[in-house]
Amino acid sequence: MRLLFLGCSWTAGNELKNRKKSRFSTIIGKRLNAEVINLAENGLSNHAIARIFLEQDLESFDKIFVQLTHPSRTEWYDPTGEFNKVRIREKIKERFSDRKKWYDSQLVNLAKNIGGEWDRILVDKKRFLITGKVFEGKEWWIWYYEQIYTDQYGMSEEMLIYNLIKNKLKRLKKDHLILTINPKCKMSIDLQLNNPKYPRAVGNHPNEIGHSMIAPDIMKLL
Amino acid sequence: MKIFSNGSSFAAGDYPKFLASRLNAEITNIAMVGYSNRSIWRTTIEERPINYDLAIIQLTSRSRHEYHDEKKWVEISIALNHNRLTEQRKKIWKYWYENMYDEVYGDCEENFAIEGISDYFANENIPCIIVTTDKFTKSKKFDLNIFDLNFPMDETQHPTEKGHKIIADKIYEIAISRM
Repeated sequence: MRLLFLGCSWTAGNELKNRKKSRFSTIIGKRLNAEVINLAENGLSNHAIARIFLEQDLESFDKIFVQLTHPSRTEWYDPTGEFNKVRIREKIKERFSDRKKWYDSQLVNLAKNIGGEWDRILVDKKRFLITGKVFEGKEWWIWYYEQIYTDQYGMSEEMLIYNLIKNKLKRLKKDHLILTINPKCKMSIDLQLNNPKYPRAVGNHPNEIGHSMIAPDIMKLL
Repeated sequence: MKIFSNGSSFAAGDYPKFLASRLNAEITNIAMVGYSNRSIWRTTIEERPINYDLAIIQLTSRSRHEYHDEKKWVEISIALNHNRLTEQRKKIWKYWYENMYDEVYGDCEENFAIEGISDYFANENIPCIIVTTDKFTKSKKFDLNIFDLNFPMDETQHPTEKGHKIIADKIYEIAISRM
């Protein structure tokens, strides 16, 4: 049996000491004696989750679990990949001045390998708004959240992505569950992970006990 | 017989009406001038069309987009000519097109719309024909690129009445082969 998990940091197991061992996808895989493919990543938006979802050979999985995230997140495609260098420079400047030499060497490596890349944008984390695309003295993505983005847009994006995933899996007749961490999600989701009953680590992600509680709650829905 | 249609300015013209006439069908056409692929996908899913015998969806240029200005949806294209666009927002979007928009993004949005629309209609057991007016799309998932047809256009670069009839005839052929 093959299981596919998609989502953001919550499904990736951020803040766990050994994420590959302790995250809920691994616990579920062990209980079902199944191979687990977990493609969740820190900071992914619903747009990115849907894009990665459509890139998979969905027929090759027996059960598919998709965790949706905060609707204000988004992504853009940078054909130069330059945003990586800009972010690292920012880190050096703000947080790691004592390790400047090491980060300078990383910059050199990046410059060698740079190429087009999807970039994740998170309004609540300043470093994820910095891309080097500056319009009238301010990062473009700050303009975006101040002047363009509205909750209506985020809700419509969530509705579209939810329907995209749900209709695809229904058409393929695949067993699936759709989870979310958006407490205001209006879609008919199977499980709300952003629930105070699941204990958290300092950065607000579920801790080891949280993951061990989420796994049986998901199993009950299968 | 009932047909559902959506799309941008081409579909807001007469070909859906001509097609309905050829099929002796009733038509519901929610196409609007200026719609982006996202607008077409969103309004189709919001409309939740059911009990139709055929859906004809016309997608458009990949570079178009939309946003919500807290009162209404505003369609965005490279021309940036929507009357709800303030000067400041026009400048912000101009920067997006000049410095940030990439075809990879447009391809992704187009693919979301194709997959989202075709799966919706498949689950409703409604045959769906998806065409495009993006001359340069790389997607092989369309039933027809309207610009592969030879049809007359007016000074606004839209099909004349004869042009709409040519488009309707071609979609009719595809529809008959599906039904």
